[in-house]
Amino acid sequence: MATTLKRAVSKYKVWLFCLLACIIVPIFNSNFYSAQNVESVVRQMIPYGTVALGLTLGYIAGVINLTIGAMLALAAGIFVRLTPVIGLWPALLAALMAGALVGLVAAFLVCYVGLHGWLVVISMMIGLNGVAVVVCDYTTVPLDNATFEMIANAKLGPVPTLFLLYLALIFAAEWFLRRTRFGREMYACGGNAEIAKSCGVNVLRTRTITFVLSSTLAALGGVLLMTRLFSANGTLGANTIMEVLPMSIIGGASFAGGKGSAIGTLSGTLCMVLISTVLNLFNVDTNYQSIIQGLILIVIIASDKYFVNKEKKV
Amino acid sequence: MEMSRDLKQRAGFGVLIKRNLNICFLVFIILFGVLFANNFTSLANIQNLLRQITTNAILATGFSICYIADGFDLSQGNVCSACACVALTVLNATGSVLVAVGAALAVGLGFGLFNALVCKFIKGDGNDSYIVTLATSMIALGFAYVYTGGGRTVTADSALVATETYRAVARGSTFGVTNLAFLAAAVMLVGAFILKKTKLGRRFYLVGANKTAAYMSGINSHNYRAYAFIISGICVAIACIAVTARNGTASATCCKGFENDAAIATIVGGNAPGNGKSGIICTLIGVLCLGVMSNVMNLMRVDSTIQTIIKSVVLILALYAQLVKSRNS
Repeated sequence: MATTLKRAVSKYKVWLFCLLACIIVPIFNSNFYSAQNVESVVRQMIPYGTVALGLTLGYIAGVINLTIGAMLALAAGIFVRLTPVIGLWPALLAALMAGALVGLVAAFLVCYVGLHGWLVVISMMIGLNGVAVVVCDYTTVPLDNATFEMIANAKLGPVPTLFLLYLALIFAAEWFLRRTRFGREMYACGGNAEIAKSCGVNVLRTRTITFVLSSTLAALGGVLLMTRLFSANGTLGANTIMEVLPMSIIGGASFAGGKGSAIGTLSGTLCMVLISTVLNLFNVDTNYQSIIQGLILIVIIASDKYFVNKEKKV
Repeated sequence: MEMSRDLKQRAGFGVLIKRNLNICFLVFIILFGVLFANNFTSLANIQNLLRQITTNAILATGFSICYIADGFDLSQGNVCSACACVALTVLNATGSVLVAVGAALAVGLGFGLFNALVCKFIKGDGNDSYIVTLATSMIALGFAYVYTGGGRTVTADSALVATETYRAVARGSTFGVTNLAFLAAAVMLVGAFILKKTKLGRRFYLVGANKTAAYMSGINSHNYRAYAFIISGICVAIACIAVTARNGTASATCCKGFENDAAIATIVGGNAPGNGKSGIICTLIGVLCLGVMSNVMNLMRVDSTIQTIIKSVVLILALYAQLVKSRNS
C-alpha cells in the first residue's frame, strides 16, 4: 500500500504540486479563483505550452532545440506582416512554413554538423536581429484583423476556444508519441542512438524531422502569442528558452533524451504558469521574479543533469 | 618520388593559407578596410580601434581559456553589467577606487564560482555548460536589476576626487596608446603565461582534448573546468573596468551582448577545445579581426543590426572551417 502510494506520488508529482498550489494559495489570496486570474493563467499556457511541446519532442529524440526564441519571433513577425497582404490563413501557413524551413537549416547545423550550443549564439544574433531588420523594419508592427481578433477572443462557455485547441494538440501529440511508429522511433533515438541504429531506425532522419517539427511548433507558438499581444517586434523571443525550458524538464523530458510526454509537458506548463501567476499575485517585485526564475531554472537543470551524468565516471 | 609528393602536400602556399586561416582573414579584413573605408589608416582611427577592442579582448581571454578547457561561458555579458553596476555604486558610496575594483572582483569571482560549482556538480562538459551559463546570465541580469533598483543607470559621482582620477587614468593615453590597451595587453599576457607556462594551463588543454585520457592520467577534468570558469569570472570583473571607463556610467543591460562578441573573437581566431595550437595569440588575432570588422563597418556606415548579422555569418563560416579542419586531420 505504501509503495503504491509512493509510486503514484512520484509519477504524478507535478500534478500534485499544481493541485496543492490551487488549494493552498487561495487561502492567502482571494483573487486566485477570480475569473480574470483563471482566464489569464489559461491564456498564458497556450503559446508557451505549444513551444514547450516542441521542445519536449526535441528532447525525446535527443535533439536540443535552442533556436525556439528566434523561430517564435520569426513566425510572429511574418504572420503580422503578411496578414494584411495575403489574408489570415495564407499568412498562418507562411509563418509555419518559414518556421519549418529555418528549422531545416538549423537541423542541418545540429544533426549533421554537430553545432549544438553555438546555435544559441547564432540564432540569437542572426535570428532576432534578422527578424528585427527584415520582417519588422526595426519597429513594432501591429496586427489589425477582425477575424483574428474574433478567433482570439472566442469562447466556448467560460473556456477560450484556443485553449481547447491547445488541449486537442496535446492529446494528438500524446497519441502520436505513443501509438505511431515514428513516435516510438523518436523515443528510441533519444534513449540510445547506437542501439536504435542497430535496430534499423534512421537516426539522422528521425532527428532532423523531429527538429523541424519542434521548430514548426515554436512557429505556431509565435502565432498564438499574437493572440495575446497583437503586435510583433524583434525582441519577442529573447527570453523564450529560459521560460520554456523548465516547462519541458518539469514535465518529464530529460537532457539525456528518450523521456518525456506531451501530457507531462502540459503539467510542466501549468506548473510554471502557476508559479509566475502566484508571484504576481503576491506582488513580488519583477526583478526578484527574474532572479527566482533563474534560480528555479538552475535547480531544474542541475538536478536533471546530475542524474544524467551520475553514472559517468569521466 | 613519393617523398617529394608528400613534402609538396605538407608545404606550399595553399597549405600555408589553410593552416593559418585566421591570420589570412585578418589580413583580408585590413586590406578591405584600407581599400574601401575612409580614414581607415588614420592615427585617430587606429587609436579609436584600440579603444574599442579592449573590453572584448579581456572578455575573450577569459572565454577562450574556458573554451580550451571545453567549457562555455555565456554569462559574461550580464555578469559584466552586474560588476559594473556594483563597482560604480561602491565607488559612489566609499569614494575609493580600490574598494570599488575589489567589489567588482568579488561579484565577478562570485558568479564565476557559481558557474564553476554548478558545472562541477553536474559533471558537465561543454554541451551542458551552455545552458547552465545561460541560466546564470539570467540570474546576473536579475541581480543587476535588483541592485540598481529597477534598471536605473548608475553614474559615478563627478564630485568625488576618486572619480576624476579614475576617469583620467582610464581615458588617458601613454605614448599615444590608450591606457586601457595596456590593461588588456597585461590581461592577455597573464592569460598566455597561465596557458602555456603553468601546469594549470597545460591541464586545461588536456582536459579539453580528451576527457577520458585525462581521467586515466589522474586528472579530474571537472575540477580543472571549474578553475577555467573562475578565471573567466575574474576576466569579466577586470573587463568591467574598461566598460565603465568611457562614460563613468553603468546599467543592468550595458553589456548585454558582449559574450557573443567574445565567442566570435575566440572562434574566428582559431581556438578549439583542447587544440594545442589555440591560445591567447589566436584570441588576439580573433579580437583584432572582430575589431577591424566592426571598425570598417562603422566607417562604411553599416547599420548595427546588419553588423550583428554579418558577424554571425562570419561565426558560422569560422565554425564550418574548424569542422572541416577537424574532419580532415
